[in-house]
Amino acid sequence: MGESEKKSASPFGSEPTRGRYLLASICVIAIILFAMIGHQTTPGSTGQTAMSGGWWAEPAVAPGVALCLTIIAAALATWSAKSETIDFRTAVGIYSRAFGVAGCMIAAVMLMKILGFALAILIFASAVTFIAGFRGPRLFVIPAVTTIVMVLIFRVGFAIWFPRPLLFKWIDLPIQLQSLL
Amino acid sequence: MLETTLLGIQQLAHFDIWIVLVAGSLLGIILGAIPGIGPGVGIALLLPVTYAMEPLQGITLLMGLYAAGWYGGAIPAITINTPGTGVNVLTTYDGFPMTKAGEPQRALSLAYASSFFGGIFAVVVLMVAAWPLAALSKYLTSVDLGMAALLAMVLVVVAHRGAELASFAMLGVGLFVSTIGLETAYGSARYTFDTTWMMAGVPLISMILGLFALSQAFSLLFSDRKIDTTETEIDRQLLSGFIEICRYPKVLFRSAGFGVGMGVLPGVGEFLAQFFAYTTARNGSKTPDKFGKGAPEGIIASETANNAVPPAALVPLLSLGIPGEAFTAMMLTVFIVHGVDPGPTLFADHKEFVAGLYVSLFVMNFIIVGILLVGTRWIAKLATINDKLLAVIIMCLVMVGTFSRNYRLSDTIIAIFFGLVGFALRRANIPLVPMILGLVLGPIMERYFRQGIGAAGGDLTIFVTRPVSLVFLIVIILLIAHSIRRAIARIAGRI
Repeated sequence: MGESEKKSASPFGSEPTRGRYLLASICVIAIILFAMIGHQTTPGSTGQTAMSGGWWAEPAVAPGVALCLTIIAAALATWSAKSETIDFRTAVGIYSRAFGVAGCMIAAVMLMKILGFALAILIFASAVTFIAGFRGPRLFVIPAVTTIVMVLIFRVGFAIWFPRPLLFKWIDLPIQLQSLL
Repeated sequence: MLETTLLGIQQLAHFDIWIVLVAGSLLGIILGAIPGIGPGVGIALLLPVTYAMEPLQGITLLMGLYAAGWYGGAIPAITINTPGTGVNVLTTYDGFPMTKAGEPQRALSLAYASSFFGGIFAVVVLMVAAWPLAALSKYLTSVDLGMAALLAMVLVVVAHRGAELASFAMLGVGLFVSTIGLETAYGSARYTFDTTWMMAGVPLISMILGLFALSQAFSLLFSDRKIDTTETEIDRQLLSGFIEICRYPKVLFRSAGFGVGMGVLPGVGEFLAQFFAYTTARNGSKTPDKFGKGAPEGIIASETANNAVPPAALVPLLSLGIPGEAFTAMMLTVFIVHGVDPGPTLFADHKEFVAGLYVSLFVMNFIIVGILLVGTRWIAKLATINDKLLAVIIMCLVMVGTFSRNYRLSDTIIAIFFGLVGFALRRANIPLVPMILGLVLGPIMERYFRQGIGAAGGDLTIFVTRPVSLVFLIVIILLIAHSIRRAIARIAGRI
């Protein structure tokens, strides 16, 4: 096996790759959550006190078991995984773009309440199309077609109601157009 | 049986069931034919839509996507050597060589005919097997059903060979997330961090959309798949395969048997079914050297086995209320939303639903084949759609799908969070399916165990004094012991 092949080989045999740090993070998060179990599983609102319904009905049992399973399995998986090397520059590049898209999505949902359904979709689709690397006429055609398709599916097809955006309070548009956009 | 069939045919008198049958079949074929998407993304995206439908329409739509996806996945596998879905990999072995030999329509026709046989065979088995199994399950107690749910989870985890520990960790994550919120029995708040919006728990639809659809969209956005734009000439002579498959009855029935057997077992599914079917067909063939070079039996074995799985996967869901994999787990949420309890009572209380589902699944196979016979030449072109373009469309659908449920930004944020988590897990090849199963089966298992242990006054020996529970427990212990042994051997071999 060549050096480059060794580097790209999976830590779990033929299956997962780059999973060691991810599983270690899951393990650490699960330990933190487990440490909070006393505070985060409060007695019920129906007059239940500690152990009043039997140990099996305690609110901490199910999350406790799930967290224990996660901690043990993630720790063992991390320990048994092969050592791996991560190209941090590539990873940071990909995840920062993914977070950028995620941020755009949150902003687009917020914009829906201000600019309306169609404009918010158009802005979001334009941003993602740009991040995806499309340039030239496709940078305009893809968002425009996507927006039309979305309007046809959700506003015309399923006739889904969306909150009236602020924009329509400022600009007087015909009701039919408002219900589309 | 006759009464069920007649009752089912009566359900087909509703026009809307035909709409969902055609829509589900068409969408399933399209999503299956586009490499990198698959029916899972479609099911996740359509899940919010099905909540507004009647249970029969909703489940039929999702089953259409599920079953038709495997049919559609064979098209790029045969024409451009790129399986549309993961389960069509073995179809490329013999399908593409046949295309290279100038017989793409023969390969496609064989794939459609075999898929059709597998689908119909499995529906008949579902009709015959689910009812008696449900009748038997009436005698199962909460402890037995809880243990059956646990067995289903363990089977799914163990099926992820080479990644069992990571799968167990993901199962734990899914189980934990399912406990968040106000627990129903005593109204206890669990991991709500004193926030009101967490009281209702983490919304299942946002999680599923995030984990299945959005994470896939992220993967497509950053994919560097080379698109094969080679045009394959496909004429309309696609019926010959229906006659040709009759020459291989043994391969057909054996493969369908593998598909049904593996479909019923949780966690096993299409991959192992087609692997067994293909290997057995090759071993039993008079010309095994032709396998991988365009053997018709190869296509028949893999496609028959694949398509026998979806209806068979409904057997444990309908009769016990326990899904065996991610797709049927998502379908279970449709039952939950409508207050329909799958399991023993389903067959007594919702006869029309069960009968309608059987007949719909039967008819669906005819509709799918009809669409394929007419539209293959256009559907084949879908495989050349740019991945990044698909990512843009899926992201818009996820955004609108999550926000339009309750018009809450938090639902979209949750979907984004799980989308990023799913993306990271996909990149690391850590399986997502155990997490989905944990999410859906967690509350069911907790309810059964609470009822069962409560009825026994907290006595844990109930798990070994009940014969059914004891059998399940022994199987669980053996499976875990086997996978630990395998993991130790793998690690030891590496040192």
